[in-house]
Amino acid sequence: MTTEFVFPKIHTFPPLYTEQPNSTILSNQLDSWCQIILQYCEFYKITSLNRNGTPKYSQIESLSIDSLPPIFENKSINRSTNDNFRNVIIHHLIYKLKKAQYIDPKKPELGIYVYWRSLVEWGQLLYDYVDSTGQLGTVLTLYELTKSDESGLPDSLKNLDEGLLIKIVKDYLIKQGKAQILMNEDNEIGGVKIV
Amino acid sequence: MGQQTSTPPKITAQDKAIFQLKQQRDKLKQYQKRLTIVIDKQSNLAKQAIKDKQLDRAKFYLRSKKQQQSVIEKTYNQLDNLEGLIGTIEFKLIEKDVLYGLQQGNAVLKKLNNEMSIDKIDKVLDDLQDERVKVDEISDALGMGSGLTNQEEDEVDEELRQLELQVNGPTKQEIVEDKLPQVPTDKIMPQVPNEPVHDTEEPNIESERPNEPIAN
Repeated sequence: MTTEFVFPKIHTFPPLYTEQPNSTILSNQLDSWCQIILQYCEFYKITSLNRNGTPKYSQIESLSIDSLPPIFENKSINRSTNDNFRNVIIHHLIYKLKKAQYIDPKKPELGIYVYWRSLVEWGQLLYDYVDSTGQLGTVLTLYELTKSDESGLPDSLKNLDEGLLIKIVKDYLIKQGKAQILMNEDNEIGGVKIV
Repeated sequence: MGQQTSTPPKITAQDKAIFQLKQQRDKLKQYQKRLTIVIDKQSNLAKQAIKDKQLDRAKFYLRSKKQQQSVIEKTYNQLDNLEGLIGTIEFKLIEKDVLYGLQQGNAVLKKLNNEMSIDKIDKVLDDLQDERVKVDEISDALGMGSGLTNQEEDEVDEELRQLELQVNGPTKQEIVEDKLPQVPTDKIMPQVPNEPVHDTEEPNIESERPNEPIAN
């Protein structure tokens, strides 16, 4: 993918980069920031961000994640948010909009999953794929569900972060009684059976 | 969504076996990927070596590349084996399901057949016949036949025809008139000129009309 994400106009609005004291304005400001994050992540198919807001994982293999335009910085107007404000924004995204979750709640430094597609939608997508390919009830490895070139994965699922895949299975499909996980010899989740 | 009670599917021993085979397969695939990258790297290195006029070194890279390629060949065979085995196991599982289905079907069929012995059917049919006779007897005794007599049926049909004529009058009559001339042809022709014939036919229809309200 060569095209670059076009930030919304508000991204060039200098006050956006400073935490606003008025609570109503602040709330709007945070919503704007979260919208930018979600649009940005969806555009680049980024499923997780580092704690400082830099991209952590994208489904697009050819994407060089480090050279993407930064979210919290706009060089054209010479503005960037400070760390504290970034945390406020991420906190808003997680707890207010519920569009993100810590990868590991015990280790927030590992970053967050960003849900421009909700876990339920992801789960449905995965289930539909397995169903439509007649693979319900068979054991599938995580490798098969993410990396394999031969299994005819839809683009939406291709190269999905394994951690996120496990989360989708655990937090949605298993709770629905639709899936069970299998451990590999290293006692890590290695496969899943969806029925 | 929040249904925690739904029980997740069970993992059987076969599932585990297939899972392990698939994991091996995935590892092989990863290995192949890795080797392919190594090979690419070595071809580039060899090219570079030739540019630098280090033929010995280039030859070394090419040799090692060849070796990796033959390893990849071998892994393809192994991959074939694994895929084959996975396929066989999955197919056997389906066969098992089919066999189970057949057994179940067979059992049900047997049970149904047991319930439907010829003696029983004969007896039921006999009983049914007896009951029917009884019904007829009772109806006769009460003086109301179970149905209409043939004559009555004919009368009903006749009435229906009349009603139809009345309801869809013009169109039906046209059709009747179209057809009428064909039937009498020769015999009635001489009678047609007689005007009274028409007159008498029409009153007939009219005379039947007053009867209908009574029949209704």
